Amino acid sequence: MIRFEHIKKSFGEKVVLDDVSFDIPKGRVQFVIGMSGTGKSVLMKHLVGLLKPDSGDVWLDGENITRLTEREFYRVRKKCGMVFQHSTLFDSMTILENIAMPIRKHFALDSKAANARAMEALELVHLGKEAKRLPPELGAGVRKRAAIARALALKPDYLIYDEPTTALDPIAARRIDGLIREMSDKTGVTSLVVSHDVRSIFAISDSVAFLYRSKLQFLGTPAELKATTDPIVKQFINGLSQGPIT
Amino acid sequence: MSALVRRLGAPVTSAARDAGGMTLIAWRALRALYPLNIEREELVRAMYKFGYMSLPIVAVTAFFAGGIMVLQAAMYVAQYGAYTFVGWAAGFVTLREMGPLLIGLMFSGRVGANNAAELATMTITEQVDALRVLAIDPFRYLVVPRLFAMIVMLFCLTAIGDLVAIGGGALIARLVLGIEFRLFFDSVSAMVVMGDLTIGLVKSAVFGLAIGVVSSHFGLTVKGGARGVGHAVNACVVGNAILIFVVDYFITALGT
Repeated sequence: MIRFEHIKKSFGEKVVLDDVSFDIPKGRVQFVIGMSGTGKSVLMKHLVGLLKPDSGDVWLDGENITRLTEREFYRVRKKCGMVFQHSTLFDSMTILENIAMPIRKHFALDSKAANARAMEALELVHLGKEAKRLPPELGAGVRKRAAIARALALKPDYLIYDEPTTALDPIAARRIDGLIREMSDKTGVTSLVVSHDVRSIFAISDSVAFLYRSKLQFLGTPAELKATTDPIVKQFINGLSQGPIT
Repeated sequence: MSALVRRLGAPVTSAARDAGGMTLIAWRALRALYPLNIEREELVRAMYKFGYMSLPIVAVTAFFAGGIMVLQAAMYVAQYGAYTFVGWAAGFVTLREMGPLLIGLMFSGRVGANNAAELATMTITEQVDALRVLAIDPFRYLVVPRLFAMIVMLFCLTAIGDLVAIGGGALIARLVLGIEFRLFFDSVSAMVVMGDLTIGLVKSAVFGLAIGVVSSHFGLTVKGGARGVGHAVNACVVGNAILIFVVDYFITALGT
């Protein structure tokens, strides 16, 4: 289980997270939503040690990981994969090499065995035919699927998706949604999805956290989200230009 | 007053930060030597890219540098009839100074700038963070192999470049001054001592270290987008050129 406990984070004068607390039980597809710049990605980066909170604690499977050193965090990162917003594949490597390289390092496998396991991960996201291509030759949706394969290949317990459908066409976006749900159901991985794509939320989430002005404004199921009377949340999910959000 | 202090102090703190960052890179790279822990695949890839791919440009530069040295000396050699000293002069200057210096600067422009640009791009596109999230230490994976590849390959390129420069000098001496190859190389072998070669090669290895440290530092500490990458490459080229001359001065002073 993941627990965020009274997380506060500022960059200079700007407060990005202010006393944010909630739990994410194992096996869930948990969405963290909110407007741009409300600290969704910042919150997720605390889980993999790319950022540290100014105050508050982050717990992972009962361990307080807030003040681990960079070296100690490598152990946590083996449990916690991340798919970056821009996929962030290594451009000088083929798709297969992108996935095989971390496998080789983590499981101490030779190239042949690592490549075989990387191919399995690519088949899982239906990308077997693209194995020999370089990332710049592929579309954004395909790159995103490759990034998911790279993260899943290390068999993490938790997988963070940072804006997985942003900048994708609607068809590619729905395919990525389907893939997130499919991977969660097939592998049991707990998925944390940072997004502001309302269609994705109602299609695949088990639980939703809504951040507004650095604070947690709403936490509940998609059904509760739909039924909420909170005018801020309602305005956001309905995409209205008029309302309390200015 | 405080604004003035801030304005004057900013370059000083920036230079101190850069110096500290570079020292840290050198120290961490040194620590990777014991127990020896270098990514073999990345090392081989970097040696090929930095060394083998630089061979043509180094060979051309060295050949003409050797020729230029003989051409410059030609007028005085002919005037004083000092034909037996041409080989020695070309060999001495090439091995001790011009070889490592010119090849070091060439290497800095080609390899150092490329390394800074690549690391800077990887940093701003979050590829370095992606390595960290994959539980792979970016320093061990990206910096250490490149740094050692630069030291080894600049050493090797300088050794090869020295030979090519002396060959170029011999050819130009034959064509311009009519000096026989045998006389030229007899002069080299009789008067150039092992210490001349050693000091030049020591310089090249230290230049390789400096280029690796400077380019990695500016690459990994980049801020901003495309402009940041440009700034990192610029700072790397300027920093390397200055450092190469400073290091050269001190090694020369110690070696004489």
